Amino acid sequence: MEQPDSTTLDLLTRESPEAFEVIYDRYGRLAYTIAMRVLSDEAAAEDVVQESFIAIWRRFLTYRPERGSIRTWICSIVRNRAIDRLRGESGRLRYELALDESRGEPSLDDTWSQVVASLTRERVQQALRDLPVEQRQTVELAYWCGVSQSEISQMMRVPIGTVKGRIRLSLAKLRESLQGKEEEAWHRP
Amino acid sequence: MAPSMTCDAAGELIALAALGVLDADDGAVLDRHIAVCARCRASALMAQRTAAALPESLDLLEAPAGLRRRLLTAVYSSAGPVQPRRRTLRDVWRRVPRSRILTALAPLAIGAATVLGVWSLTRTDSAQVETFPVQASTSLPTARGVLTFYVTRSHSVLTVAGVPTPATPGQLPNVYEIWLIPSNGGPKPVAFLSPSPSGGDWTAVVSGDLRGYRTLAATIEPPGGEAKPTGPEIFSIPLS
Ligand SMILES: [Zn+2]
Repeated sequence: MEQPDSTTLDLLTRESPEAFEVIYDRYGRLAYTIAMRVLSDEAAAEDVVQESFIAIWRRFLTYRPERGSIRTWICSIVRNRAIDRLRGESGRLRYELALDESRGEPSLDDTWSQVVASLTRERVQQALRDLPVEQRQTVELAYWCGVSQSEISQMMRVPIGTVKGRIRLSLAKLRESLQGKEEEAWHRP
Repeated sequence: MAPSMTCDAAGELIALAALGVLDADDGAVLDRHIAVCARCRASALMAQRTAAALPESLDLLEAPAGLRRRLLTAVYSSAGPVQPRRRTLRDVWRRVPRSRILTALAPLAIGAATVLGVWSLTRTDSAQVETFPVQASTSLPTARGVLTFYVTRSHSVLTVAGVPTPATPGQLPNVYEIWLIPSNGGPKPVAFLSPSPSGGDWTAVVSGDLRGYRTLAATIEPPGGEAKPTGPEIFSIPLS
């Protein structure tokens, strides 16, 4: 969850192959891991990462630092492509949150910066393990498989309202776990 | 309508959106709500950040080595193997920053975008270079040039002159494809030659260590290239 490296960013905006190499060496493994998580198929994952990084190379100029780190941008490109591959590109148009990171509330932003700085694999894995199993499964089906709420409802044989509730609750709990403290009821208006 | 959507309803959509499973129509409704509701905008930002932490949970796998080589070959030659036909030479040229054109063109008189891309990479590596001369074949006796292997960076730059523009059998021209031939096994496709916009030199960048290969060769292949050589060899470079 590191912040954009300013030197790399500068190179990126000049579309330099050297910057691409730095970016690939920094995020290539993560990209491949994400593609494998979605697809469970080495050849397909390799294809998706290759397509994603070619797209990244051609779309350097569309990267918006205020909308998140390069890492987050790359993860999103790879995951979306992998899910498209898994589910067929003819699927519905997906909506993506693309909020301006620089326009958050300063006190929340400071807290979250500390969270991000302290994020480790163990910590995120633990936060997921701490979720009730049905919430974790719901999050994973949605996030890693692109399965819609109505499909999850059919797969898990629960009403769609239950799916929505689980998704909302699980995200709130994840956030609390990652922050390591009880939060105000931002998720329960 | 959007502004009258309740914050509770927006909260449901925010969670779905953060996990990437909100459809575009609901997304548009949500957009209109968070445009006017600071509280939901803050919630959405936190949900976005929380979801962005999920990839962090994965145990990292090793990416295949060939993937890196193919990507860097594509990028340094600015002719991606995935969709090589979409890029024209003009596009490649346009990618090169003007400052770098001016700095590099005058002293080097080299026009190819690929070489410019590599120029700043290799200029600090004056030591640890090995050079190998091009050996023309009977099918193209005019070919001459050199392969420069930057050992510490594991990159090589091939510059060749005396090479004509390949024929254009259909809408797109044939390509010059570069192969590395190992001591054991078949040729590996590693790059395409790109022409200098002003004519003259052709260049290619080859990523990876050359040690372990006995020959670099170039052949004429159909647009987009082939996985194995099918056309005539136009030159080769012994690497031992
Ligand atoms: Zn609201």
